[in-house]
Amino acid sequence: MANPFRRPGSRPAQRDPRLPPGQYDTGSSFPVLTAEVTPRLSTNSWTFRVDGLVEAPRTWTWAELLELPRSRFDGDIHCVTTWSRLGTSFRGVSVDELLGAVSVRPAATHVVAWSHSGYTTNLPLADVTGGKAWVVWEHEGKPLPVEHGGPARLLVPHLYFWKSAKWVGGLRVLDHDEPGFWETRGYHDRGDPWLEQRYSGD
Amino acid sequence: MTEPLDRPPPLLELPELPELPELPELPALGPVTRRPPAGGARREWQLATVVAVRRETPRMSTFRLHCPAGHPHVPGQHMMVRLRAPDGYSASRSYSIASAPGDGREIELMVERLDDGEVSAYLHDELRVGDQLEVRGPFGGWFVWSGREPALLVGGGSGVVPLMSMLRHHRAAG
Repeated sequence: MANPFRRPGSRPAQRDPRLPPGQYDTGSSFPVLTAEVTPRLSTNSWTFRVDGLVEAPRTWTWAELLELPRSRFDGDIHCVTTWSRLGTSFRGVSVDELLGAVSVRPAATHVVAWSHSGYTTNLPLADVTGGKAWVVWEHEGKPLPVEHGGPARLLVPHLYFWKSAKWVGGLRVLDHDEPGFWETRGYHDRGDPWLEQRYSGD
Repeated sequence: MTEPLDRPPPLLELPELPELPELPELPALGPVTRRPPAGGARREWQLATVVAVRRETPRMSTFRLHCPAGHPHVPGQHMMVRLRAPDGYSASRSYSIASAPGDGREIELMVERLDDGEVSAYLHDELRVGDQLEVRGPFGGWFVWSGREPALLVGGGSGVVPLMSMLRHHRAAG
């Protein structure tokens, strides 16, 4: 028989209350996990588009995006592969600002975030409004590196990080749920780390 | 948590507008090769028994597990492993399956021992034949190979583990 598994000495007896169940603190490291080849996107041709169930679909250029009122997120991010990074920060524009500019129709319930790489992920509208989601281009005071989704990525920190699409290219507003890349491949539809919604049916 | 932010004004209730013009298709990375079971069926935790331990290299070991629930896997998929301490502390990690697909009752996980790895070090140093282990899976529906189309396998270190499952699947299929 094996000796019983013990809490390693390096793990404090008092678990950090910022860690959701089943997650560990990755410290200052920021692991990189992607399904696709990292795209090299130039800010000269980069665009961000919001369309679908909106009154006035709109495409922003990089320069136009930078002119929008900025806001900053300070907090924690959680990857479904069990690492969490605590006390980090991002800066960009609130998704409220972007949706406000196109006037979302009353029938809208969900969005699909899509990336210039071809990646997609679905989110209830309520998870990207009310100061809960951003399009960000700065991480801890520095430009967002390409391996982390630069020039800009979606940030939805209250859900598992696969919802925070790297290399984001736009949001499509819908009146129904349209499961995205991982959501059609066995991962949970919503992905709340505090409910451990990792896989389909959790 | 965040800086105060000027909220956009609340949206007005507008009359329904005519149908939207045709939207361009959303992008996609590729076809869905393996969907989860219909209805979002949940893979539950199960208690597996270690039936063999094979030391492959000083840092890599293979653990052959008997899983009573027996969910067949597709090469490239992984399992979750959970360890629980008597004081309630627990740690889970995901490990790729190295064996060829079968009926899902006997699978092999090949695990690299990391110096600071709390789960991999325990598996390498403590786990013996006959021990029980909490596992859940298989999971993953992207880095998989069903055997239907040609594939070129390139990997290193513990990254060869899912490729071994593909290679063994290919050999078994002749």
